[in-house]
Amino acid sequence: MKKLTALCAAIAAAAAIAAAPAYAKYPDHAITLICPWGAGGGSDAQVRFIAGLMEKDLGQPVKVVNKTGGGGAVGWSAIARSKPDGYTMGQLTAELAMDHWITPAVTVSYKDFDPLCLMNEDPATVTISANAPYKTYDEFVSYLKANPGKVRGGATSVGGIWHVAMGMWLKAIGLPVTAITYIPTSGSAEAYKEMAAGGIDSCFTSVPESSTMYKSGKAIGLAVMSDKRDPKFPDIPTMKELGHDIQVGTWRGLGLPKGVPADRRDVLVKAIKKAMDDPAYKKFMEDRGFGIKVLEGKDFEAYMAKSDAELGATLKDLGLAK
Amino acid sequence: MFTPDLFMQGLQLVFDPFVLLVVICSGLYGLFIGAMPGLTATMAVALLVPITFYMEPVPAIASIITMSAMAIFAGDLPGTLLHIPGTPSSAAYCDDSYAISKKGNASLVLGIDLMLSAMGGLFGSLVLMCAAPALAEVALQFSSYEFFWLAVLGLSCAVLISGRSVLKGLISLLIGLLLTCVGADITLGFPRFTFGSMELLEGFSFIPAMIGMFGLAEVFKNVSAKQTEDAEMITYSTRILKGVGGVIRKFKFQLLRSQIIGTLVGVLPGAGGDIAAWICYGVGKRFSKHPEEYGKGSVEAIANCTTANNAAISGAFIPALVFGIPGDSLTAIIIGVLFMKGLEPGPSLFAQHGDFLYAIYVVFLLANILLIPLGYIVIRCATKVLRVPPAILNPVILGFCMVGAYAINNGAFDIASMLGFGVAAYFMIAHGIPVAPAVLGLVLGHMLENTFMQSMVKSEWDPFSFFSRPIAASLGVITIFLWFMPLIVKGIKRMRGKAAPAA
Repeated sequence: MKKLTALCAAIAAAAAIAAAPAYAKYPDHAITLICPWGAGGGSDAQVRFIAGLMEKDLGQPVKVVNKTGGGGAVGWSAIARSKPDGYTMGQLTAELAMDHWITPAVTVSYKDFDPLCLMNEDPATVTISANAPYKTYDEFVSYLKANPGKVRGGATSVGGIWHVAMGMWLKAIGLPVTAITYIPTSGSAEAYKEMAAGGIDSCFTSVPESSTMYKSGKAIGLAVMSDKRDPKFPDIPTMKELGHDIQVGTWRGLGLPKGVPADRRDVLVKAIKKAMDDPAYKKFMEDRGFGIKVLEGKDFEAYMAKSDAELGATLKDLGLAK
Repeated sequence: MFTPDLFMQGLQLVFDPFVLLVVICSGLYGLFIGAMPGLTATMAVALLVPITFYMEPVPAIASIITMSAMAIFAGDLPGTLLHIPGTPSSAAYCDDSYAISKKGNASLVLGIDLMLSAMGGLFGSLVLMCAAPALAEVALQFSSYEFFWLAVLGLSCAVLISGRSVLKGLISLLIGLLLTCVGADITLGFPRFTFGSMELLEGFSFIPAMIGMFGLAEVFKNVSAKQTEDAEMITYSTRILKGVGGVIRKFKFQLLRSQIIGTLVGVLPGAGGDIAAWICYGVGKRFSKHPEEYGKGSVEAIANCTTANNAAISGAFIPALVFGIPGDSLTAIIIGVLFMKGLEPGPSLFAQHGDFLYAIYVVFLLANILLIPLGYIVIRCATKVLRVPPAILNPVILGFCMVGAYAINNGAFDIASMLGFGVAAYFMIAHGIPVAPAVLGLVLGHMLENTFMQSMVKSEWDPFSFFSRPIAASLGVITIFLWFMPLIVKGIKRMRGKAAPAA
């Protein structure tokens, strides 16, 4: 009996020690930041930059761990399943609002996260080859109406974000999704390679992905699917100005698994906002051509909900939603 | 073509303390792995990739280039001193090297190996610098039709030249292509062979596959190989440069020919330094004044082959950078690394990342020049390096394989997939099925499928569209001709046999 009591006491003591950090200052050890995309890519670079700045503020290391696969779903499932103690957070991107519509195996969605902060948004564009017979937005639209299916478009694989953007745009201007024949490519680089060789006539990628083609004069940007013009290409009008208020693009933000105490979440949000005010971060985003858009907490959640609903509806139009 | 501005930017990218440190460390690592019998240059690269993962693109690629140049040279060391080629690339002239060193002239062989490896590497690098940008200019006009044929041509070459049996090469290729079918296809987004697993949605990741097939399978092979008696190591003087100049002067035209052949073989997909060395051995023997010496200690044979296998490394980079089609297994891995770094190989790489390409050229020159001092150091301490027992080496490599596979994605799934690929590759090797075509299939499978589907969708499912553009049509005809080559050769042989039965 004595032994048992001693054991109980030992366990209680151990538990007390284990529980003690809960009362200590948060954070008191390293925070893990899960990036669902590969090291070296744009999403990874952005999140690593922020992690480096957050470390300075929090006084604890912020380790970026890449967990890729399943179009991001492997990483998001890992974040959603992690312990909600504020020591694991993760990057949320636009694909979170798409994967679960397309793939039966993927169940994770924005509803599985407590949002921290939206940090970036890159709107889609309407881009045409400089060799095309049409040169302006109106000419392009009337050509599409007169020649259904003759124009070839590309930018991502089928069901990728720019394919969906194309679908949303066609629907907004009153055309069926078959008005443009979609050529699947592995990404924007391959799509522009095809455009340069004459295989694709139109592209729907973001401004940073298209900028080299604009600068070299091989492609013409006709519109940005946003409510604000891009500061680097102020001559390209927005879709809102052209009469259709469609806003679609990639976005990146940070989120937590559900159930993290509110005070810890606030500490993180504060650190993120401080990092985003850093001139080095602003220069980094500028150099990469990434657009800055900041939304916190509930606003970010509403943003994700809207994105999820719109992308889901278009995926249904494209015949891709399960 | 040559842009001084970009060259300066390239120099700046390379002459950075961190990059230089990486170059020297990976050079020493390459020399060590190359010198160890049974450890190939490809395996060294496969184990290096997880480390390059945490680097910027320039040091990452620089480390791989330096390492492979050094490893191919170092493979000559055990061939000369122990009669065991360190890498397959040194196998062709191993007999000659050993025969000469047995006569007490090992230092001459080592000197030739070192100086001519560096010369071959430099020659190939210069060809790369001149040919790649020019080809890229042409490749800018290529659309999915041309890339489809290039992929088919590359895969066909891999089958036809990679091994002794075309059938076994084809089996290997189809294994590779079938594996690339796993995952969501880009045309319909339909998940294939994923069995509901999220990990498989994007297919098998390339690096764990590579580590398994080149790292783990080699360990299995080494462990299961019959233990050979420790060969007597030959002693030699370290005054290795004596007489090398005379050899170079005597064989300058043969050497130039070997360097050209080496570079061209490097360009061909599926054929690397080992095949370059064998071909130069054969060609050299055919045109030599003393063919009877080949195999019994011919200095000419050593000089020809050792320069050719290093030239092949640079040659293999030409199709890899310009078209994204690997020239050998090493560049197959490098293409994987470039994709991971967000640098898609192809003509757009030349248009958008000129500074990076010039940095690659600079690294090639630097690595081959550095080969001379670093190689000299290793020659001086070769006796110690070659005595590291396999009982220590194999477990260490196994450990690196595991850590490497895990590090890519921080997941146990990749370790399992690495193990699976390793065991499968071991059985392939054990049954004489070459691994290289499977690797090429893994690299090019997506390109093959994507370009095929893009072409079909673009042309509204007209198969003749593959011959609708001049370059595409030419590439198509060459490819189909290549397929029937073995049949045609057989037919000619039979006809000759019938025409002259008495002869």
